[in-house]
Amino acid sequence: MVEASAWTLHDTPDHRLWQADLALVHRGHILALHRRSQLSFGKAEASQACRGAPPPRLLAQWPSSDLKTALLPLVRIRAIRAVLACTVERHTAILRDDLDKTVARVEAWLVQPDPASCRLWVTVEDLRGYERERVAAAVALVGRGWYEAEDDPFALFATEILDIGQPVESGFPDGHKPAGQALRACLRQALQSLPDLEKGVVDDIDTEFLHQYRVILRRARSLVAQFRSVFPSKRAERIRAILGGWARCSNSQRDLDVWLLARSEHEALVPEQLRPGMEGLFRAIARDRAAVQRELAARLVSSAHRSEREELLALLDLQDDGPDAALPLTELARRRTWKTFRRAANQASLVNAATSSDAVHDVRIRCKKLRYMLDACGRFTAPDDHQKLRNQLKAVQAVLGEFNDACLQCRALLSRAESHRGDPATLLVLGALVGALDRNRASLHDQLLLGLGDLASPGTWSTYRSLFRTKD
Amino acid sequence: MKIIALLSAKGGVGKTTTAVNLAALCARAGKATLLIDLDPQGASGHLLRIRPAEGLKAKRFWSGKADIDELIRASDVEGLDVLPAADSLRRAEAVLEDLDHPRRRLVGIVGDLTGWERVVFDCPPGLGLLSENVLRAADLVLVPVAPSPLALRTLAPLAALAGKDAVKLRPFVSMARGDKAVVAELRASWPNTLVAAIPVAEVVEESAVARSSVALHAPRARVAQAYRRLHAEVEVILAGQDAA
Repeated sequence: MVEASAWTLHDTPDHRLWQADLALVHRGHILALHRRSQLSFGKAEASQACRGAPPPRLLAQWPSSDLKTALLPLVRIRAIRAVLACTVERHTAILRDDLDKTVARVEAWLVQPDPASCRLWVTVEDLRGYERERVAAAVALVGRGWYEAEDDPFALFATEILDIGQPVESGFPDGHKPAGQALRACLRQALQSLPDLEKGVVDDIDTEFLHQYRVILRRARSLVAQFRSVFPSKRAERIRAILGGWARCSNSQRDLDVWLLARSEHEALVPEQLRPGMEGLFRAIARDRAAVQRELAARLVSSAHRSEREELLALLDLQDDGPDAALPLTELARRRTWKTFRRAANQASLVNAATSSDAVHDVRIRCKKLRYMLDACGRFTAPDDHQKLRNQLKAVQAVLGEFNDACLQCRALLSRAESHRGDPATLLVLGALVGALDRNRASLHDQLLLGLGDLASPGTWSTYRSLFRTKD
Repeated sequence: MKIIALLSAKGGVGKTTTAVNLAALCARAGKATLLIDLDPQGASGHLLRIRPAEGLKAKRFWSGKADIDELIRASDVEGLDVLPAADSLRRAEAVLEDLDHPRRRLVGIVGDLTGWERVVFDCPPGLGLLSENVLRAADLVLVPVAPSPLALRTLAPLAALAGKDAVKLRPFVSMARGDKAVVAELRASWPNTLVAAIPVAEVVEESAVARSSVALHAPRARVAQAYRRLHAEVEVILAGQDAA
């Protein structure tokens, strides 16, 4: 018996679903999310009818359904695209003994991505009491060069074709390694994940590509700064300069993305009668964003960028190390985390009602560095301690972020005023927004002082001291 | 797990055919089912194209030392496994007489079985120790009664043998040919007789030749419908036992 059907596997560009052991498959008129191991036979986790055209590219544009609800919490980058299409033929056969009794059921799966190539897998079902016959059949079939599948055949095929690895984990997996070796491995892993994200930025599929790209760059750059003594100083500077340059050239687009993403929130800040003026402002922002996106895309595909990437990889391959390269990573990490905390806590303790927004911004940067250290070195401390410190810092960072963003956005709006000189409706909106954002910033002050006070409290000092302070 | 036995003192009344059909219908209904052929003739296994369990020795089986798991075979009916009979089971009565607790051996043997929701015993004819074992171990004992005066007379001795397990006995009309008077007498004497009655039919023989169950070989036949009614009635009784 033969059943043939066309299968299309969909996933996010960063293969989130596949890495989460899931598969989103368009088969016939159904788009269904399956556990990978039950792709061919098992019941779908969620599904929706999908006739004719493939689903919209952005998950947000999908109609409401159980499938959309199931997918939303799983994906970080919300673009869904076809990653593999093929024809799947399922042949079934039964082997019988001389009594005409079934002794083995055989399934052969022919998976063809194109007419010129195919993979063939065979599964022989276990029938109680007929193990000997099953083994004989499997041996005979495998002897003819067919694979015996222990996993779902389509999933095996997709794994082979797509060559999807495990999710890239941030941070250091092993604290006992020499710091130089560990840092190089960590940076290589970070670099490995960048091309997929860059492609998403160039294709402009989803703003989340750029966001994730920048997060990885910031983390990597911060780690190089924290552990710079494992490299010769010139090399550390060069690595930081390259990573910093990549991050900087994407600043404008990210700022404008944030505006566009939060349009409805900003609209809510403006009195209703002024809202028609938002159109002019956001049209201008969208126009500027399109221009900077083109610039960034051109840069990311340029030979200069490729050369920098090659240079960066070459720098990580060099073996002449800095003074602390041979130290155990845990030791260096503790020392650096303790130092970063001391600086962050000291700066936090100086913040008061009169502190300038630039000084608050410096505290925010310091806290980010501390957070990257905690994230990277989380496995070196007891999970409970780590989680406690991380949660505390995360709460402080949230207020710092909101406070600082309000300041930066006020500045950005004021700098736009000149270009809207002849457009009173937009100018009114700018004024209203600046006022609302400034009031928002001021209202956060108490919360900010409370959070920073907690970070700089004797209790927090004591915890960090006990966990990270080293003898020397 | 519920254990259903097909038991009768008389041979040729449809025990094996009913056991195979009932087991197949249980499996078809999604209940993992094991058919245990206690009749050394091995007709159940034969109908399902399964060879006798050559390695099965009566003494090891009844003393609980046989590795039953090794002898069970999957049938071609999805969800139905079979423990085929062996010629050595002819010695069952003699072997049981030599063992301690000769009437309760089967209780221990089936107590070790796991993974099945229904176990169906196909038993040889007779009223000996093997039958007593079946009466103790089963939750429900179906007694096929061919509508003849002689067949009716076998029920009382069976009930006497069952003692307090007589409540498990549920006669049913098997191989019915329209003998209304005898059927009426059966129902009058044994009010717990099942409603389902299995008619005599050529298709039963044809299914045996084709080595299949009637319920699957000729599902539209009147006799297949009768087996489905019997199965439904059995499930209701078992559900009632659970509720009680």
